[in-house]
Amino acid sequence: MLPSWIRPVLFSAVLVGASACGGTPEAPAPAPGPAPEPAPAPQAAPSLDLATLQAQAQNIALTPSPAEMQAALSKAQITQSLAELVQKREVDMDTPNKDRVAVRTGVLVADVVLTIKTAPKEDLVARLQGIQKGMQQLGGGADIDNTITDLVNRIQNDAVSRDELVKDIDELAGVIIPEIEYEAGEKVVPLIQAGSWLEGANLVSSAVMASGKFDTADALLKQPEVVKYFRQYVKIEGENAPDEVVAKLEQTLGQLEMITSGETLGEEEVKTINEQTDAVLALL
Amino acid sequence: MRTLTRALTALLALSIAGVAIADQDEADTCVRSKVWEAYPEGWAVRTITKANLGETEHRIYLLTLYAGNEYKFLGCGDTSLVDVDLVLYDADGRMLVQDQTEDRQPVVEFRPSSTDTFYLAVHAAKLVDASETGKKASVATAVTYR
Repeated sequence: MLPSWIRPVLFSAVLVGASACGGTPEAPAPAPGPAPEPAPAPQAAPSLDLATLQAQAQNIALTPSPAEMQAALSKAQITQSLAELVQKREVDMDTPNKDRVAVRTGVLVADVVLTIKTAPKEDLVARLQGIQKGMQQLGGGADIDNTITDLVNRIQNDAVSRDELVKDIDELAGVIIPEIEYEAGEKVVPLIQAGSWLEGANLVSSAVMASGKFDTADALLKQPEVVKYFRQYVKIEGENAPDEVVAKLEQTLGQLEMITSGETLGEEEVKTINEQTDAVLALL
Repeated sequence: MRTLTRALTALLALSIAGVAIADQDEADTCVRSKVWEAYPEGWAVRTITKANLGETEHRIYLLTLYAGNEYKFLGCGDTSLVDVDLVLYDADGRMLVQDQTEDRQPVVEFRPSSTDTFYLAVHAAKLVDASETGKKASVATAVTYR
């Protein structure tokens, strides 16, 4: 026997339960409402004209990475690995000329990026320490210094796989180094990029020459805008005698701009690119 | 009283700066995570760059893209943005491809048929609250390839 007070409670609970289960069967179905409005189509971004594009474009992402050059080489059916062409270098960062330090640092960055999976540990560490010294000379700050020290320690202690290192080095080369504000000024990033690109272009032209596939040269080496961008920062100013390397770099970039601005690149142009970049890199 | 006002003003300026940095970090973290997540699929990063944009403002990047390589451009806006757009143009200013979504994390993929320079425009199309004068939002953009 249930106590009398519980009957209304149970009755209410039954009513509430029935209502929650869809209400009484004889209740009229709700009238169909108006069809929902279709979601508004996303507004297209305003179209920009060529003059605006040209006037406002920034060059921070203009230069392809050396690893990207390797990818393009493979897509062009040239099987040569650029890593195999990278030479050991004794790079001297103890020079007062910051432009030269920046270009040298860029060459080492390219070498590390290209050989990250294959280089012996001691070569990799030596290149990274060269980059670290370059960064110190350029006033890159404590963060980049600590980052490279950490990388070197992990490599030396076998605490990182080469696959993991690929990401770390891509981040270092493509994200961290271009973001830093250097004490040596705003020329530093373009000149580091110039060093990396020169090394990459030298290796790619060597690979094209070795393969004999000169019909791939336009796709792999024709980048006049990149050369123009570097030239803006390598112009020799003032009456002081220019640094030998910087003077050679300016001359080389001038010739490369002329060559890469031509209609098409053939065997002769590829050989010239290779000789010109060789000559600059030999001075480093 | 004057000292108190100065202190409050400085505090406000500091907190605004803090919010701006936090927003930039948020956009940066978002785009980095997308970049690193794509590495197992063979994508690699050329560069990541950041911009502070007001509503309807844009930033343009000149790019060299290789024939044969695939490219994916990733954008991440901070939470003060509703819509970020990416538009790719060729060297003559012809629009090639643009993202079709209304969100703050646009993606555009492109495979060039010839090696050339291209323009990538990043638009801060819509902010959550653009009524605040001078309101800027942070957008991080990554250029990736494989």
